[in-house]
Amino acid sequence: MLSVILMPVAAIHVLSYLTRDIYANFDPLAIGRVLLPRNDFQGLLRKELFYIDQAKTQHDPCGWSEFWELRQKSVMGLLAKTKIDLSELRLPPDKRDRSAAACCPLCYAEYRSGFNRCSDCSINLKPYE
Amino acid sequence: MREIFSVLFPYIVILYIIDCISYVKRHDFLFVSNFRGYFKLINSGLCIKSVSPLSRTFLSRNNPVLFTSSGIYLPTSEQHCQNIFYRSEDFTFIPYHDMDTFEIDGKRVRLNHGNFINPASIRYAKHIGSFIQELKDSKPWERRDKIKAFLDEANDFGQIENHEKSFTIPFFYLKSLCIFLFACIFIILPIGVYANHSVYFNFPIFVLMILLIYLTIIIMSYTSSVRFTRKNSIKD
Ligand SMILES: [Zn+2]
Repeated sequence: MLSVILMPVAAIHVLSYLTRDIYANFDPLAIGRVLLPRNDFQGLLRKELFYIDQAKTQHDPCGWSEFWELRQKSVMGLLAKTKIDLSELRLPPDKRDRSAAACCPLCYAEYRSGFNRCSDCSINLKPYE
Repeated sequence: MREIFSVLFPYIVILYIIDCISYVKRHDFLFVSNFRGYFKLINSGLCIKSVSPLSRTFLSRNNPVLFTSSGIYLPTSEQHCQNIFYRSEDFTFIPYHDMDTFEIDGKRVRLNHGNFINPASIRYAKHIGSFIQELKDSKPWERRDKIKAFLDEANDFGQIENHEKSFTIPFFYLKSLCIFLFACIFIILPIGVYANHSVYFNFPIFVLMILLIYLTIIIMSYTSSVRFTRKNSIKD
């Protein structure tokens, strides 16, 4: 609200300022489930499950894996409520650009030959067969 | 007065564009709606969040604290902010029995005078702060269920759906005023300043009208937010 008072033209976006934090206590996945188009939500979900799988492989004696196990359960609960099948989520995408040689298994961005890693997700690309 | 506005108008446009730009940190999620009401997700970097007066933005962040039955993991450094992946070496572990001082300072939760938790908002800082306190005060065998319930509650999208349904009514007049202000500044004002027929344009009355709309928006946003928060207080 301070920016609205200091910069009156920002009053046009007052609605945005007022509601910006109302869902701050929720997981981005839950917000995405309600607000995002289905494809974008599936992308977000795919990434999150990948990060959880990756985090679970890390070892730490203080119970690191306990958190990730609970987080995974919670995300799977959300998945069950949204009626999205896990196998559907992990289906490889259709090739959209004929010149593409590989795609990112997380965000589905396509890359020409010569690229090995996705610049957004920092993971290895999957070559098209 | 027209001369003053012809000088001022480009600056007003620049200020508006500045207000439309936002920087999203890594691990933050900014949900932005366009003029048709569809949302897109911005993950990180500089972005134009909203040009339309109707657009809404919601900020969320992946939980900065990892809870376990024996303590919490906090991100130690900027390292975590630069990494997409969660690596245990980027976190420090604090057992519940080692938590001495604990305070919520605006957007920050301060632990043992030094370890900070930096949630995305004051609302979330309070939420996470009180949950850590609750875990600290709980018996060790009760904590796992509490953590599970906390994570499940954060994923309860039904609450968000209900909230979205009840959104339009309390903000209807405010929304209309924002659109009207937008039209006044970016459609009527340039016509008055640059069009040939602007001799008939009464600038003092126009300025007075803009001021009135602005003040009404400020008052209405305050009252609407108080009423809306009281009526739909979700997980405060
Ligand atoms: Zn990617």
